[in-house]
Amino acid sequence: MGEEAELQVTAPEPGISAGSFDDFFRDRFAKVARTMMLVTGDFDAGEELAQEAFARTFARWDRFATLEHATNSVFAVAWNLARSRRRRDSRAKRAAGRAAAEMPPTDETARVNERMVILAALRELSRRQRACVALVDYAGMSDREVAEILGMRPPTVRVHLARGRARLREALRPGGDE
Amino acid sequence: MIERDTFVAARLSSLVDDRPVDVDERLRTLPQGPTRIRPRRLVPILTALLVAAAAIGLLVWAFTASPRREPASNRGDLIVYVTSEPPVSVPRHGFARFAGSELAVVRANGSGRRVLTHLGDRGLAAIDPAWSPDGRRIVFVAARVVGSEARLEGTLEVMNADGSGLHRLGTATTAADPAWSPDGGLIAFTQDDGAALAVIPSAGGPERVIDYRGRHGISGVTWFPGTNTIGFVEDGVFVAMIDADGAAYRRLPTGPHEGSFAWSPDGRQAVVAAGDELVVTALDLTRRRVLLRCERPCRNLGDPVWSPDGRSIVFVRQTAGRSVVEEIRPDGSGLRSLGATGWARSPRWQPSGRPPAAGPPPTPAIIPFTAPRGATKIELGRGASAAACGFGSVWVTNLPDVSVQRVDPSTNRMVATIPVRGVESMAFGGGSAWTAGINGTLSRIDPSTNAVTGTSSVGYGTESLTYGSGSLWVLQLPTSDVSDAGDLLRIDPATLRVTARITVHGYPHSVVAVGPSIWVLQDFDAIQRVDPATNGVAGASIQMQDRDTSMFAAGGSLWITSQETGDLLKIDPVTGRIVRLIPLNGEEVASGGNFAAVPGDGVIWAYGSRCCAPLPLARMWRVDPTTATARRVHPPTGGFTAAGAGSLWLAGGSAVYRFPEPSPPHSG
Repeated sequence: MGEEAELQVTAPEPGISAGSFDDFFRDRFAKVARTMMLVTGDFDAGEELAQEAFARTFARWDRFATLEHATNSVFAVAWNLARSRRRRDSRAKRAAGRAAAEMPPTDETARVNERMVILAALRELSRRQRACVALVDYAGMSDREVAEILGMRPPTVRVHLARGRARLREALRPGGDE
Repeated sequence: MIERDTFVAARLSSLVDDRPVDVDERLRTLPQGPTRIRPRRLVPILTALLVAAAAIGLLVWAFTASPRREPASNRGDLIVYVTSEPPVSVPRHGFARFAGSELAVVRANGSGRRVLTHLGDRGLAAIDPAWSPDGRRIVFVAARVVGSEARLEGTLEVMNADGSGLHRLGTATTAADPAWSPDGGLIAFTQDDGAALAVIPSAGGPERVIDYRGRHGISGVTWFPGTNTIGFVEDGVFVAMIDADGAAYRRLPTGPHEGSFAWSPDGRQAVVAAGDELVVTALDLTRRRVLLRCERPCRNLGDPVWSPDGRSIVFVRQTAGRSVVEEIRPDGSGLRSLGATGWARSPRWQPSGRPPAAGPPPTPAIIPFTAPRGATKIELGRGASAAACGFGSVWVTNLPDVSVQRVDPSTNRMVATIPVRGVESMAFGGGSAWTAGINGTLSRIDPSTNAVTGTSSVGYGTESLTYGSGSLWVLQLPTSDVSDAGDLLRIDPATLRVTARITVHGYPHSVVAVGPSIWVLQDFDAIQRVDPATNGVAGASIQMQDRDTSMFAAGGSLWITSQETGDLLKIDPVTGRIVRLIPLNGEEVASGGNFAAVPGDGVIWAYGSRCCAPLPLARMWRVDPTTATARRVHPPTGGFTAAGAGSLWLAGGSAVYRFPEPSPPHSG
């Protein structure tokens, strides 16, 4: 048996200041790009998705009441772009593998190994689990914000988040008792 | 309210934080052209809309606000809460959540705010208060954060309601989340950052760790009213219960939420704050009734708790830079702010120590439900949780009353109210209607007499049932994080006895009978066939490409909906192979959050919409299960749970709503 309809219409609010986009971009682009790296498991794609998402967000700049609202929109657009890209490109898994191969070497072998392990663990998650973990635990967003971005209900976010975290913990901390 | 998982956050940061990102270059090369042409402003229109909305809001408030009641006999006058400075930003580690926290009290009428503790001088923070059942003492945690990993240390402290008589209780150094038992004799709490659940005599004495296999990430400790059963949240999602002596561990299959829940004093309901919503639910947290939705500038609703008389719920509402205590009645009325000193958390209403007032228990909360347009409303006079079609009737489950209402579609009237033993799920087959409760109770209804002809109890955690191959099949969920296995019970429909118990791994959570097979959906992303001939799983489970699915039977086939893509998959009921994929405008649906389908009279009705989107954005299709062809139709609404008698059915409030079968667009 399904859930009840939950229909609501939120009245639009006046836009944020016209000159603030560049500051907004400079302030938040890196965070969005790195979050999308985690969401996609692809370092290069993260930046490209973020840039395209910011561009599309600018086109609707007047419609955002707050910078937070605009940030959520950037993430939502980036998420949908990532999904569209995946659908178009059946080579997504190869791209993910390529990203690992392209990781720059460092002098610290152990550190590289650790990053490889983390990346591999991330890729074991479903895309939704990965997105929820990245947005909550890396980008510091609330479940409500993530729900808006991913087009889920907050309880669904929390399920994906819990399972994603559990899988990461299992993969990254085999003893489970750190 | 979700907090970051510091372990996961640290690993994610180590993976990407040193990745170079050339922000200026990206800004310089940002795509130009139409995307950088500013759209025209809509300020005048939007301002008018806001003014109108504000006026309506004032009118609604004026008509719904009512004078305060006198306090009931078992309800004290104080509310204790944690107060601190607002967090500077999203906290990266625990300290920001606790620094400077003290306990304060406010009277129920919003007056008399004062701070009770002054632990800041000692570098400690006061958190997690809980009242003794007589309302005279408060237990709380004196916390400090230590080490580079921001590990939380905490000791249990007890003081009188006026802040006097402060003393440490026990020797635990990593205590959190204390809760006083209903008889006052014990205090339950967590240890080691939620790795253990323990109890200690409230008068002092040795702590005792409650040992059970499933312990993991414990928080939100509470006591089930009037019992020795402790409720808590595992891993931030699952609600579990265990007796104080370590017996009878069980985990509710429902959830999820984020540790902010409380059972009502009469033990009949729960209140859950899940991010942006405050909802009253059935005891097992199913069947949500939204009391309050957090709209901007509100960011979160959290820490709900009932007043001792069950007539009010207090909670905190967070906006940017502010967190205050508010009160609301369980029916959604009487919302008001009690204010707060500083950034408020964890409000707890004082008991008076007197027995509960005589009289009927609090009325189960039913929020107003607006009848959708175009629907025929069939009033049932009681809570309507979900609808199902069978035996030519519509059956509406009523969770608060644990009953089923039967509606005759030919007259649009309720013809029977049938009390059952549990009503979380329903199925039809073998000449009977069947209901199951989360508590493991089964009821068999004779549709010719509307009488319950048999009941049985098969064990806690019953989530889903179906009828097929001459048997009733009941799925019991995994009861702990340690195992991913659930049990599929085969029930003899005549005796209601379990004739087979089949272990299914992979977090099974729903079961469907179709043709000669029983199929179990695992963890939203795989299906497993069970062979009734052998009473065992048949072959390996079949992984679905997408990871958010649901399933149902129609036209002799198994059907899977893919929430991620908006696809409808037709599955061979024997081999499990996909025989047809029907893309239902996937892009539009996939970018939204709601995609579902239900079988009707020889058709499947599928609908999808963006999460929380207004009705015009909904999409609906009529799918012929035989030819697997889909045709777009006008959507009457979303959220319906049943199709039959030439209609779609939606249960809500105290009624069931009937919609005519939707017609194709542009058909005149």
